[in-house]
Amino acid sequence: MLQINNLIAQIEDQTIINGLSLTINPGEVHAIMGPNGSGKSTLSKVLTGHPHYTVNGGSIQYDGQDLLEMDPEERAIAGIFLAFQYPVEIPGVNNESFIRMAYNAKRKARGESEVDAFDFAQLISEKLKLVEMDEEFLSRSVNQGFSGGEKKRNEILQMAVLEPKLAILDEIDSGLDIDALRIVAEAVNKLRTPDRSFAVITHYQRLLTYIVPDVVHIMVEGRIVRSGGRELALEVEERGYDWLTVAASAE
Amino acid sequence: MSQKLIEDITGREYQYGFTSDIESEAFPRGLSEDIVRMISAKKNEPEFMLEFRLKAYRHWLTLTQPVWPNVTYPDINFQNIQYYSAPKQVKKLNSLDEVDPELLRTFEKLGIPLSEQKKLANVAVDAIFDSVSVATTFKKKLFAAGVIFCPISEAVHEFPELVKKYLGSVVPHTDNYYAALNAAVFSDGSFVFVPKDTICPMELSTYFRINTEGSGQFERTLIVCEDNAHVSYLEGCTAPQFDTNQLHAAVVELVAHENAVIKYSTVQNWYAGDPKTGKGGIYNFVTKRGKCVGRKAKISWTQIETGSAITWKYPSCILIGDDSVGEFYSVALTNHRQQADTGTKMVHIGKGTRSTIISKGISAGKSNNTYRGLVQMNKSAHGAHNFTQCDSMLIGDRCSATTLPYIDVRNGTASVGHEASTLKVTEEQLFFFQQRGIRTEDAMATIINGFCQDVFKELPTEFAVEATQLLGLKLENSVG
Amino acid sequence: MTVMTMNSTSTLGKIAELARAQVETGALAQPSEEWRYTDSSIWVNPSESSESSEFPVQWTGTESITVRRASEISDDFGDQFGWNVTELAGNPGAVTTLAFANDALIVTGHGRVYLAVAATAPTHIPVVIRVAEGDRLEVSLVSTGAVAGHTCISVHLAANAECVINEVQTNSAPLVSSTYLVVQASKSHFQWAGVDGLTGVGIRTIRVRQIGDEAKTVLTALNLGAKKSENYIHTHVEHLAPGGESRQLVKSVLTGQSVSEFKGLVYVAPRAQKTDSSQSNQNMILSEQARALSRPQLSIFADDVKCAHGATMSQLDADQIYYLQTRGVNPADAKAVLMTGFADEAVDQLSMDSLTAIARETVRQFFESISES
Repeated sequence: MLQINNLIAQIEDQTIINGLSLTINPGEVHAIMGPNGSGKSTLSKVLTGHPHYTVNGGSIQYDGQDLLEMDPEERAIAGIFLAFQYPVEIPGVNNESFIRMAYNAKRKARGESEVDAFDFAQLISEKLKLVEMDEEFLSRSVNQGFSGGEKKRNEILQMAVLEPKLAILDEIDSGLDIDALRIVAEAVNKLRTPDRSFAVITHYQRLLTYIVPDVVHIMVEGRIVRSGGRELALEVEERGYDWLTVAASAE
Repeated sequence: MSQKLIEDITGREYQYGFTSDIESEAFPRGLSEDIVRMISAKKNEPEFMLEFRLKAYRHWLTLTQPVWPNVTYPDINFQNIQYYSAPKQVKKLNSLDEVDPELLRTFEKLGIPLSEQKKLANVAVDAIFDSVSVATTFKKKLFAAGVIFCPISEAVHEFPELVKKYLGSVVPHTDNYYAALNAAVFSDGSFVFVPKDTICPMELSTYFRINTEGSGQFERTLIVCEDNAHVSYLEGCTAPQFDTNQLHAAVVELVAHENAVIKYSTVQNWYAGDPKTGKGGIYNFVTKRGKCVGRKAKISWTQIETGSAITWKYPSCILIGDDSVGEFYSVALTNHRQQADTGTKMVHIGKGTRSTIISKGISAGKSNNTYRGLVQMNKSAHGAHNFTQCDSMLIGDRCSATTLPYIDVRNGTASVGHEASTLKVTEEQLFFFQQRGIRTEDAMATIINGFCQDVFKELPTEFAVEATQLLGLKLENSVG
Repeated sequence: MTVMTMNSTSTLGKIAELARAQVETGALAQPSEEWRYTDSSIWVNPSESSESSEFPVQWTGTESITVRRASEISDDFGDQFGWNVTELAGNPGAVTTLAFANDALIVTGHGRVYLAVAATAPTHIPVVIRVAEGDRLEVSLVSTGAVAGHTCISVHLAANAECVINEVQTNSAPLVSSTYLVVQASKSHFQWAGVDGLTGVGIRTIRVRQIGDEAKTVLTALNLGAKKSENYIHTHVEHLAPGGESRQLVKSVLTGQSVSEFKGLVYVAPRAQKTDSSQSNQNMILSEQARALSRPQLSIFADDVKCAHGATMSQLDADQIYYLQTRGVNPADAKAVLMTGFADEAVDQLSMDSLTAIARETVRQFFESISES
């Protein structure tokens, strides 16, 4: 489903991703770990087409298409969803209308009729339960005045509504207390299907005890330096990243 | 934000720029005492009206145009304006269906159906074409409820005592240059009178259309609510596309007695001039003011200003009655080469008076958008309170936003709070929308509507939708 | 009219001549709304000025600072001054000072200097402060007595330079003005803090131009208005380069029939992206006859900026007084505590202990006089 080949990407003259390759198959959950500044978040931005990042080499194939040729909204409609590390606030814009707008953008692209506010209200109230949010969240402005945990839950709510093929979760665990982490992780687990793939970017293996990955990758200096099973995450927890950093620079 | 995006979102064309081919009857250009007398004679006015006009005209001659607004335009030649122009009408009309079909079509094209079959279900409309009122719907139904809603030219004849009592009582002809001009030459407008203890059963609306090139529009609106009366009034405006500037110098006066509520909403979409050259467009120099005379009276202004080459207006409240309330909610959008200097004045005189000002200014293109607002707490205004929130948003770096509050407190028990901020649509916000599959243009419109939400929610429902769409249209193709 | 003791061919002499011409053509008498006290004659009345050759400023400072009188050095004052007199038209404080000055001071170097104005006749004192690259200069200005005085201070900050000015005015003269003309190069830092306990008309005009990137300006004022005093604080901060920052806090406590006006304009030029500016005017009105005017203005021509301004007009918070009462504080003391707290935010900005002490004493006396009345 997703093949990244020898990717090189930069922001403001600084190369952050430097020869990264990664393949994710349908239904797989990949964890991407690494120290600060290793390029994890950059990868999520490059995959979703953030305008600040330029790709200087390599290729990304998604569902047989050249992803790099697609606009950010085309990628979203094609099923790539990013749960942002820092979701932005949008004052005055009603949360429910916003999510409906996104939902309808997708339907429109598929040639389906748009869903009206009444039908959508039913649809979303189902999804709300998944993230244990109150109806009240829907009537507020998008992310405005939300706590860190509420913002993250709102991201997962959107994921649940938009039903992506590939979901990228960028440090979905950062800033969450243990209860919020449980809610978020359980929601993600419920959204796992045989076709839906996940790229879970995280700093800590703690999240991976809740969302159990098929593959764990360690990213250092813009490349994947080691891939393995669940146990790799535990090893990192124990030994830190230094030994991998050293190994990477020795290459 | 890329220049292209900005240009894309702000580049939409004006859709009401057509001219209707309707035979009109007009006075020669220019202004003199004779013209003033001709207007009065044309309307068959009683003597007191002629006196009112002449006094104003003579005073106007002693005045000079105000130069303090933060706008620039070439000198206006007041002798080159047509002060009266009206669709030719052969006989007196018995029903709306006798109105010139071309006129009806014009208003229909503007989304304001007037004919008996098609008229808006819950809104009574007074349609003003150039200098005269051409049709007023639901007049009888309103009259049965005790509400007077008619052209002011008619009110002068049918309710002379009311007109005499209230006309010029809020905006005297000595108020300012354009108010004096209006008092001298105004030809029509709406008159609303809601008697004691009456809640007006439907929205009232006046729709203004300037059609004839070179004519000015000088309408005058007077709304009076007696004790415990309520009314909600809407005003809409459009004009054809001409290369020459047209002057619109209206006066609106509101009088609210004890416990009365007047809600006045404007969706202003006059022609703004050529987007590229800035040529043509309406000079909208308007004086709007309300007076809360009685205790606990309330006047609320809501304005969505999107058109006009130049906007110069300050819908204001004079809060005389104790515990009376003034509100001003405004969205002013300028694009291309538009200029706006708009805001409000809240003059607190009575005890415990309260006012709220919410102003949202959006500048795009090469436009220039100024908020100017006075909050004055007079010596007698014990315990009065004002809150002002005044936000600006700039789209692109060729426009400007200026905020000029004047706060004057002369009573130690009054309190005032003023907040202002400048916002921009960030790339991160746009990217967030894109990541959810939403096009940048839609994202931009949504974010801007969100910015204006505090004002839109004050509009009557029918108009809130219209305002949202209008804003989207005005900004379409302007952000890249 | 005062006769210039300075050589009229000197640059200061020429500037003075230009300024006098402005005075004579009525530049000060313009009925501009910015100058609400309509009696412009208060500006142009140096007649009581004595011909004393005694220069009315005393200074003490660290050794690294040089203070010179313009009359004692060669003809370079005009270059040092750096502002064109025509630019100052409509600014009575600056024009009056320059028109009737006998001499001027030039302050350079780094460290601290303390300037005290004590005179028996009205004073007109231009001061030029130049801070070289990377230097820090701290100036404290104290004016006491009962004689009208006008100061016009031009401040030039080179890159990375820092200048701190503290001003405490307790003069009881009918009119005291000080005008600051500040030009800031990149990454320079200008800080001004003023405490005003004047009993006549006091006028502060502060114009700041940030011409270099990432300059920072902090202006803080406290005005204590009593009886019929009038206090005007007019600021004009121009952000002409990217990344600039400005912070303004102007506080007034008003009693009696005093009047205060804050008028501040923040201008952000098209190229001054990433400007971060804030302006706050807080007035506490303690009498029914006092009047407060506030005009915090913004004029913005760049789209990626953060500009906020705010103004409040209020009284002492009854809830806060009550809260203190429940803790056993009597109402009079509670009021004093709250008012002192209100004032302290500004007083704390004064960077020199000796001045802070004077300011605190001024505040204390002021509040004492309120509670007596």
